Amino acid sequence: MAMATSIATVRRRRFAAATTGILALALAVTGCSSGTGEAPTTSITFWHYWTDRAEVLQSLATEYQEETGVEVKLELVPGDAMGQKFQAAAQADKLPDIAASWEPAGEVLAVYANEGQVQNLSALDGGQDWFDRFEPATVAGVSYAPDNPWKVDPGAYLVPFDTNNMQFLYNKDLFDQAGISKLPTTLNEFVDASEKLRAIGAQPFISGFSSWPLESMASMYIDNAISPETRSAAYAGEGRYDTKEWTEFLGIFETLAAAGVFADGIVGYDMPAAETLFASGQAGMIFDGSWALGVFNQTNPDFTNYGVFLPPSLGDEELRIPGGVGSTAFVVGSSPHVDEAAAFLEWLTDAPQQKKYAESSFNIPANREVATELALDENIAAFAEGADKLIAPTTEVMQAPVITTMAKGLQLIIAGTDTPAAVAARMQLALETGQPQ
Amino acid sequence: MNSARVLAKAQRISLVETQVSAPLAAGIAKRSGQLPGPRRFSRRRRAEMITAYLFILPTLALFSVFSVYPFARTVELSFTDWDGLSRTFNGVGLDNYFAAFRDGIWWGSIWNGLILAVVALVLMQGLGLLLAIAVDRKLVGQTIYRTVFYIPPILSGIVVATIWKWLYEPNNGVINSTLESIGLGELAQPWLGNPATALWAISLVSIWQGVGYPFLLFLAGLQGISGEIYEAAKMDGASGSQIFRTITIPLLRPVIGIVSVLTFLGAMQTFNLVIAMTGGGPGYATEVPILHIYRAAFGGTPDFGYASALSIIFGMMLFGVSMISLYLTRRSRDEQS
Repeated sequence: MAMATSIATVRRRRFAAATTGILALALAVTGCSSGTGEAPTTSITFWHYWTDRAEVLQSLATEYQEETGVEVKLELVPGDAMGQKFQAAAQADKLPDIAASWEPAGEVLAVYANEGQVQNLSALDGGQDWFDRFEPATVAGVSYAPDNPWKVDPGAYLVPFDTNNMQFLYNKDLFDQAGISKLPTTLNEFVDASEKLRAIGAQPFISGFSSWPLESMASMYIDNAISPETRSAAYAGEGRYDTKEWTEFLGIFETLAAAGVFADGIVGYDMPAAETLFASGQAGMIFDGSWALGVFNQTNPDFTNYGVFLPPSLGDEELRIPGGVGSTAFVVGSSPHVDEAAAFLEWLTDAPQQKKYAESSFNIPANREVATELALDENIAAFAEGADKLIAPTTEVMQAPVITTMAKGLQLIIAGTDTPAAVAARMQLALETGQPQ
Repeated sequence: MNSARVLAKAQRISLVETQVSAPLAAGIAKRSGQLPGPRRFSRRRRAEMITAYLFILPTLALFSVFSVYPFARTVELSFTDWDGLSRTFNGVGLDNYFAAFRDGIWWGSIWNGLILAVVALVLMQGLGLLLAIAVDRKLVGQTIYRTVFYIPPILSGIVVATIWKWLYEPNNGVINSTLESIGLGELAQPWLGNPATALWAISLVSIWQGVGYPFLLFLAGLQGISGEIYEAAKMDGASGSQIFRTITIPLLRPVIGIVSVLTFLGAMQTFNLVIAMTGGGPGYATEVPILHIYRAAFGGTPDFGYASALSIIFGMMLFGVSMISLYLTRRSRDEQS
C-alpha cells in the first residue's frame, strides 16, 4: 500500500513538473509572437461615439502602441446613449479609462467631476502645462472657473480635439437654378430665397428639428432678439418668460413656418436624416455644424458644390452663432491608469496627430499651431472664421425645464398646432413649477 | 346548461368543504394520537424536505437578487432625491409622488400609452385572429405563412423603426411617393412630423411588428379545438358565423384573455419605436410612459428618485389592470364551465 502511494505521488509530481514546463514554454512562445515584438505593458480603454472619425482614431491608437507599447482599445458607443452608458457604468464601477464627453464642462459633468469620475487634469503632475497649445478661449471652454456655481474644483477637465460652430450651408447648384444671386443676410431675404427654392421643387431649409439643433438655432435667435438684461433676469428667475419680447422671439419661427421656409415635416427629422436630404441635393439650405463637412463627404462624396454663410440677422444687430469647443474627451478619475490616459490624450493633440485628425475628419483642429498651418478648404475656412462670432460664453443659462418646454413648444409652433403666446406662458409655468410643460 | 352550472357550483362547494374539513380532521387525528405532531418528522421526511429546499434555493436566490432586491431598492429610491450618481441622497418623503401627480406630461404619456394599447387590443388582436383562422384552414403553404407572420416580432425594434422611418420620410418615403403616384398626393403627410398623425403612425408600426404574437397564440388555441365539435355543429345545421360565435370564440376565450393582457402590457410599455422614430415629439405628441421615466432617470439633469416614483406608479397601474383582466377572464371561464 505504501509502495503504491509512493508511486502515485511520484507520478503526480512528474505530471505537475511536465505541466509547468509546458505552460512555461507556451507563455514564452506567446510572449515572443506579439506583432510589435513586445506584449503591451498597459492597456487603456477609450469609449467614443465619433463614427466618422473611428478609422483615424484607430490608426492613431495603433501608432501610439508602436511608439510607447501602451495599448489603446477604442470602443464605439452610440452617440445618443453615451451619457446613459457612462452613468450606468459608473454605478456598476465598470468605467473605461478615457471617455468622449457628451456634455461641455457645465452642470451635468459637474456631478461626475465632484464625484471624481472626471479627472481634474490640472491636479495631475505637470498640471495642464501642455494646454498652451490651445487658444485661451478653448481652454476656458473645457475648464471649470474658480467661481463656478457647481462648486467643482477649478481646472481643466476635458481635452479638446477640435473647435466648431454652427452656420447655414447652402447648395450652390440649387441656388443657381433658383436664380438666387445674393446670400440672404436678413430674415426677409431668407424668406425670399426660400420661396425661390420652393418654386423649383426643392425643400428650402432643413435641420434636425426633432432634437437638439432646434434648441441651438433658438439659442442663436434668443441672443439676437432678446436684450441681455431681459435674458439675465429670466435666467436668474427674476424676470418672466410670458412677456412680449419672448413671445416675439418665438414668433420668428411661426413666421418662417408660415412662409414655407422649413422643409415639409422638418420637426420629424433628426440630424442624420436632415444631412442626408441636404447631401442628396434635395434641400437648398441646412443649419449645421462644421463637423457636417465630414458627414457630407461620407454620405455623398460627389456632393461638393456647397458653401457656408452666416445665418441671417433679425435687424442691425450682428448675429452671434452657437459654437466653441467641439469634440472633447476626459480621463476617468477612478481609472488605475490616469497618468497613461492623460499622456495618450496629450499625444493625440500634438501637432502631427492633430494634422492627421483634421485632414481626415474635416474638423477644425483644436491645436492652434495646426489650425493656422493647415491649408484649409474654403468651407472649413468659413467655419474657422466663425470662431470670432460665437455667442459669448456665460454662466447664466436658461433653466433645463424651460429649455425643454421651449423646444417642444417650438416644434408645435412649426407644425402649426400651437401659438407663441401659449408656449411663452408654458415656459413661465415651467420656471415656476420646475417641471417641463 | 342550468344543470351544468348547478353541477359545477356543487363541485366548487364540495371542494371548499374538503379544504375546510381536512385540517379539522387532521387535528382530531393528531389529538387522538393517530398522526405525529408537526415537529415529529421522520429522518427520511426531513432529508427530503432539505433536498427540496436546496433545489429551490438557486431559483429563490436568483429571484431575490434580480427581482425582489431591485423592486425593494426602487421603492426605497422613490422616497429620495438621488441623482443616479452621487454617493449620498436625502429622503424626501412623498414629494416625488406628489410631483408625479402634478406632472401633466406624465399623464399625457399615460393617455398616449392607453391609445396605443386600445388600438393594439382591437386591431392587432383582431388581425392576429383573422390571420390565425385563415392559416388554420389547412391552406397550402401553411408553414410559410406561419414563418412570414412571425418574422416582424423577431426583428430588433430599432431596425423596424429605421425601416419605417424611411417609409414615412416626407420627401422621399415610399408611402408618400406611392400616394403621389396613384393620384392621392393630397393625402401625403409628414407622418412623423405632424402631431395629429405621429402617434397613429407609430401605432401602425407597433401593430405590424407585434401581430405575429397573437397570431401564433390564437393559432395554437384554434388547433387545440377538436374538429369533432365543428363537425357536430355542421351536422346540426349551424352556419359559419354561428360556429364562430358559439364555438370558436367561447373556446378561445382563455387564450383571448391571456393575449389581451400581454398585448395591453406590451403596448403600454412601448419604448424602442418611439425613441427611435420621434423621440416623443413633435411636442409631446408621442411621449409614452417608459420614455418619460427614461428621461427622468437619464435626462439632462438625472433624477433617479423621481424616475423610481414614476416606475412604481406605472408598475402598480399595470399590475392592477392585469389583475382585473385575469379576474374577468377567469370569471368568464367559470361561467362558461
